[in-house]
Amino acid sequence: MFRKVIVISVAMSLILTGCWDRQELNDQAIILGWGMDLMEDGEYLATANLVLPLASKSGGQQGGEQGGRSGFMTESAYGKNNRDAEQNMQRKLSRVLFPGHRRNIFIGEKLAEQGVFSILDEYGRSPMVRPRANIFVVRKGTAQEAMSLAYQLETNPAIAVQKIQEKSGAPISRSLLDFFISANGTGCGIMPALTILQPEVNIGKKSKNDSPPQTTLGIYGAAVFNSQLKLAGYLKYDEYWVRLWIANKLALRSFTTIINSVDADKPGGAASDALSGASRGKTVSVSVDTFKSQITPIFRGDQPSFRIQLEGKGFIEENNSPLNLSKPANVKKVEARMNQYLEEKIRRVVTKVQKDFKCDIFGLGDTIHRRHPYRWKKLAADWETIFPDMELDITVKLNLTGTGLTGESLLPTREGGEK
Amino acid sequence: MKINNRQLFWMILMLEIGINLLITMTATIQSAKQDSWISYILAGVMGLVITYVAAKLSSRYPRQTLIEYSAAILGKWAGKLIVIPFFLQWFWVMSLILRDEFLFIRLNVLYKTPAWVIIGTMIGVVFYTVYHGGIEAIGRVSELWGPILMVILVLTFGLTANNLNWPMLLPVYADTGFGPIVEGALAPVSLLGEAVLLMMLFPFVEHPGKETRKALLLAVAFSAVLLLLGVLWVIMTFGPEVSGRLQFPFFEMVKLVYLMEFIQNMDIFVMAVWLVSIFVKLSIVMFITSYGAAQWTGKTRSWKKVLWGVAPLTFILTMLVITLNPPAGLLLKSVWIRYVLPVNMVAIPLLLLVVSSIRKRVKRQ
Repeated sequence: MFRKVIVISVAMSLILTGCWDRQELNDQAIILGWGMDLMEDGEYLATANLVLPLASKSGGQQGGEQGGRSGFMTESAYGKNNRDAEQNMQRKLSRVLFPGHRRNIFIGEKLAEQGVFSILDEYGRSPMVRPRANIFVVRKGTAQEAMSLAYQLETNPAIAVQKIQEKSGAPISRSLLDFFISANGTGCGIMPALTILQPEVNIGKKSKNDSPPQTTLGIYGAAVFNSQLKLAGYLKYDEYWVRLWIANKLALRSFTTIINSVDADKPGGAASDALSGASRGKTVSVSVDTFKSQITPIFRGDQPSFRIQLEGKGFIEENNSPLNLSKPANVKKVEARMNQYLEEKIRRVVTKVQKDFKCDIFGLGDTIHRRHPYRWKKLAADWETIFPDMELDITVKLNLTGTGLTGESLLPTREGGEK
Repeated sequence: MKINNRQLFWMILMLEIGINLLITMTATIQSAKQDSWISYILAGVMGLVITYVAAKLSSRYPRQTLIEYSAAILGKWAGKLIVIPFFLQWFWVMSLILRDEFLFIRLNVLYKTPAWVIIGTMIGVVFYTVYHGGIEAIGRVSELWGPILMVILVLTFGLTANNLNWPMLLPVYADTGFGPIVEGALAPVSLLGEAVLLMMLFPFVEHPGKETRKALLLAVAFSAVLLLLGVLWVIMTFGPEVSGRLQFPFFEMVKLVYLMEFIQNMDIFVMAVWLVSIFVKLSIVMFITSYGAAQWTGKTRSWKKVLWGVAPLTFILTMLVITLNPPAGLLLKSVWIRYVLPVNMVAIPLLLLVVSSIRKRVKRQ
């Protein structure tokens, strides 16, 4: 009897092929990037970056173009929110939109200014998408502009920004999640920011095969959001690392400072020299790959202040100064100058955040919360007013472990003489 | 039909952690926040106590199931009445697990497949196993899949370790306090306490005795440790706020695995293993329900006939639950924790234990 039942059920499964969720690959439009913009009239414009199946088949090394076709396409549609726009977009597409590989989300500047609260929910709610995603603000532009721009090294600009972000020393592919976490913490969010970069110098194409630098996508730095999740301002590319270092998230970075007047090298006397902003001079570059940050809250009465100790390990990669680096004392000198420079640089960025953004993106409030939970209960409500005037004592301690392949430079004589 | 102690260990382990990892965490984290790990330790200890009481009781009647010895302890009628809550519990468990399975699968993989197909296929497989193999087949399945489950879990913990951020666990105690931590422990303990169904499994063990008790306690302890690791991992990955808002935080954590470009999308393994543990749990419960019902009516031998009734009834109940769609959190809190935990897991085993020891003493005098 039982055998009969089995035979019947197997037969039935053959006859009644019920695959409700069948979705063939060549019936899907795979979304790699998703952009949202706020238009003048208050509607949202969604842009999708879709993989072009024919182009991606043979791997695209030729500047994102194959036989005149680029490796991706963008499609856009208006809508009331993400899902609505997606549905409106679908009417133009022969394949079903599939967001399972949506790793990159672009947000236009205007939308960021109005607040991202209204669109961010779907990125954590929809079961189709993965929580691991990058989210970017497009500075001075719309998501659509940034997503339409072909990128030369990759077939697809969405892949390009993902990889650029991975190389920038920031945590890999988790800016969306980090935004959710930090927005739940002391109340401020931070997202990497992209921008469209013109080539530094425009030179025309003289022949067909020339490849001068073109307008391209790049990281601008980071967009800071206030507690209403509205855009408060930007940290530049050369400032974002400060936040990452203090928050213990920086992976690699190299720093360059100027060591001009070797003789006037009294400790503490040359910070202005290091920060003079001159782009030419006797420079030293240090490549740092290990970062540590220690934030210690200190209380004087009820008034909190912080001691921020930043440590790093690296080696000297370039030395155009007269210092002879085969002498350990000179390496110490570079170290000291570097620490001065970094301290000043960090102090400026931190002050900018305190005064301009009034927003605790360094997790200082979280530190009090974790170390002194009972004191935090009194401070939490007023943290937004306390933070901008907070006293911060920042010290940087670099540890230079090497001078590269040479101690002394390979060049025989130096300007400014041997030191 | 005999199982050995090792099989019993794996059975209880799979029964405990599969669904517990998935559904209790949110409730716990919402109330105990970053101190949820304390709740889970507390839950582990309470779970061990509950298991110990049940095992102690069963080892007094090593050749009898709960249905039989409750009648022996309390007399025929009272003994039959007192096990009725257990039958309710088992039907409830089956239909709710199936509902959860359906919800989870529909949310994550099969978006359009109708409920009756997902539920029906699962019940079909469970029915086949129980009908043909009985408890022995379930024991063997657990013994086979348990270690695989462990490997996958260890891999999961290892591969997500780079996302961990231990300061998320601070501050300890200050934000929550005693009340919320204990409240948070209720959800996991109410599922860990399900080990009381060992009272039905005990006589099927080859040589029921001290070793059996040890295997049972070990299984519960092991599950508690795994759950503790799970909740620590979740909190250190998402922080208390975000993980308290996610419906399946453990699963979301697995989705985060992203190593060296090519190790990603691990969730499908966890899902597969999770389905197996759901299968084991359902099979165990379905077996003891039909076997228990057969014993209850006094016709132990015809338990397979009872199974023909239990399986369709479970199907109907599950479809009913899916149609009515009561919120899962409410069911967990207002029925499971309020009635099942105190009555079925604590009061009845304790009562039986106390009465049976009084009887023994009286007899001796």
